[in-house]
Amino acid sequence: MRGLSGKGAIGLFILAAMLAAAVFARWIAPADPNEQDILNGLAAPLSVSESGAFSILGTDRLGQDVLSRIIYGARVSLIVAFGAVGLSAVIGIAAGCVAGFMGRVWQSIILTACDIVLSIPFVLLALALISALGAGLVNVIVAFAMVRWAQFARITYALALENREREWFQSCRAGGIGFGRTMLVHVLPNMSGPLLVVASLELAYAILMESGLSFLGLGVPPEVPSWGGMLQEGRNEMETAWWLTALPGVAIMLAAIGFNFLGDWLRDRLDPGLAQVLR
Amino acid sequence: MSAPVLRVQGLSIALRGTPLTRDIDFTLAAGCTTAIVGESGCGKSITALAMLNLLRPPLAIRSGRILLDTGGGEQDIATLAPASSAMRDLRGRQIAMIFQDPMTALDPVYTVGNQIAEGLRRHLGLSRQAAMTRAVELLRQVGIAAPEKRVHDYPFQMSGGMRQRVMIAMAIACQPRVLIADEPTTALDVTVQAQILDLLRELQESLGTATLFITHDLGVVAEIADEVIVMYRGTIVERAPVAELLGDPRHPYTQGLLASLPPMDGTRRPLRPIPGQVRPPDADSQGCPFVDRCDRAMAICSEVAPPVVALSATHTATCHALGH
Repeated sequence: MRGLSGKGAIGLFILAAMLAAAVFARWIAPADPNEQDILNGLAAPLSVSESGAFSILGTDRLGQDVLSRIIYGARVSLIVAFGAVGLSAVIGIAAGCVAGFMGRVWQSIILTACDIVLSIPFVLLALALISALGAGLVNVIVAFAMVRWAQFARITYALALENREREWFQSCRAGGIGFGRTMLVHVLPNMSGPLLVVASLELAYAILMESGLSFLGLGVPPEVPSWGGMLQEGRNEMETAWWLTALPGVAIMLAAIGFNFLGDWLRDRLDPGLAQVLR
Repeated sequence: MSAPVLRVQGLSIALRGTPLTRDIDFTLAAGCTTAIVGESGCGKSITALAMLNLLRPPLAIRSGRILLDTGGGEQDIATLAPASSAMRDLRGRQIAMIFQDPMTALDPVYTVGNQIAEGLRRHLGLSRQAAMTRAVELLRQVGIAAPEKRVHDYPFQMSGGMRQRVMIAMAIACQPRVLIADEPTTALDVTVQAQILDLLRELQESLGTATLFITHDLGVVAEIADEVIVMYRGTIVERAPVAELLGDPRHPYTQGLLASLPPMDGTRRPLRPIPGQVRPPDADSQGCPFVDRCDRAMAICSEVAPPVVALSATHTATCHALGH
């Protein structure tokens, strides 16, 4: 790809690897992530057990293969990340457009709501929401979207203010193009650059949040392997079996870095002026 | 003058109770170009937006009628809801607008062909293919070379003059009865400006559109207009056929405007600016809006609104000094 910087390439590579891991987990993973082998518990990375089983990244207390669990864990992370960011983008962009185009009353209602939502610590709000809704994949997504839509709404609102003063917006109105069509067909594509950047950064945030919530036991059920859940399970063995926490931690970090790098690269590509300023 | 297509009667536009234009009356006739001249802030552009019913709150039409002859009877645009489908059916179909800045008036994410086609499909119900074919014809009509290639260009691939031609193509696409051009040449350099004016004149003659041309440039007015309306602080101060207005201006403001231009014959003399500045609009002005800058102001001027004085069948000026 033309103009792919080192950072962008790294980000893209990490995400491609993660996506491949999630999609082809069944064929890539060396073992069933939930297959227990108590006798072979807490095997160190690159060790061969007495029964002759070789494990690349070791096993946990129940003898479950860490590498396989990390590979399967990518699924949860990606589903939650894209689901949560997708949902918050839909809500936030719609709210931001309403605030920007529908007049003062809507504007103050929505912007005030954004301020309120963003001023509450996320984990606290997520805790409250999930205790009300119950733990689970879908509810993690909903909890994230209930909070982070505000980020999208604010940026969409700012973009709406900018776009509605452009002459082409007036020109659409003057041409008899309906409001809905003007919004969807003309305004939205013109906002897509900055929104994509926000989305990529939100994806990184969503992955961190999913891990955090899973660590607190508010995420997916324990039988579904997830990176945050692995951290939680390995917590007690930190002194004797570092790989149980360090390796999923590295996976979380890489994923977050991947999305961040991708976001930085997108921002530089889509807004060269800003890149110059930052340099 | 041929049949009136659009009649504006007593149009007043207000911003939260402060009137910005008062009692604007004019008529646009098929095949004629009427120019509205005035300095920034005199109400030219909001008058144009009002004709499309596109004023955004808190701007609103306070009184007056905008009667459009749609072919099947007259319709008062001022009474239509701005977002109604009846109003949207008129915009772009019966009344089209050319905007000032060709650099920002085209949507950067679509090809020019797509943008021209959008209106055709919306108003004339053409298929995608038919609309694109028509878009190519329109581009040819506005003088773009190799239109079958250019129709696939994005706006950024075109120069300012070409984009303005595209804007014009979009505006005339559905053969509207009324064309509003809001300073269409202000953002262009002088040679391109002349080409665009020629183009507008040509199209006007071949299509018989009634054109409202908004500008602050008297040179452009001399070039394109049939009738001229001079506005000052939201009121019409003088109107006349173009030759009469430029040759024999009667209102002190029009005289001041013309005196502030360098003479076209090349003689050199100091330019005479109109003293003072345009006052901001206020709610309770009683007298003549120009009284504070007028060199012929009398006592009555600041107390009583000046009468519209008919100087000939086609020439009127709104001034106390001409009334007696």
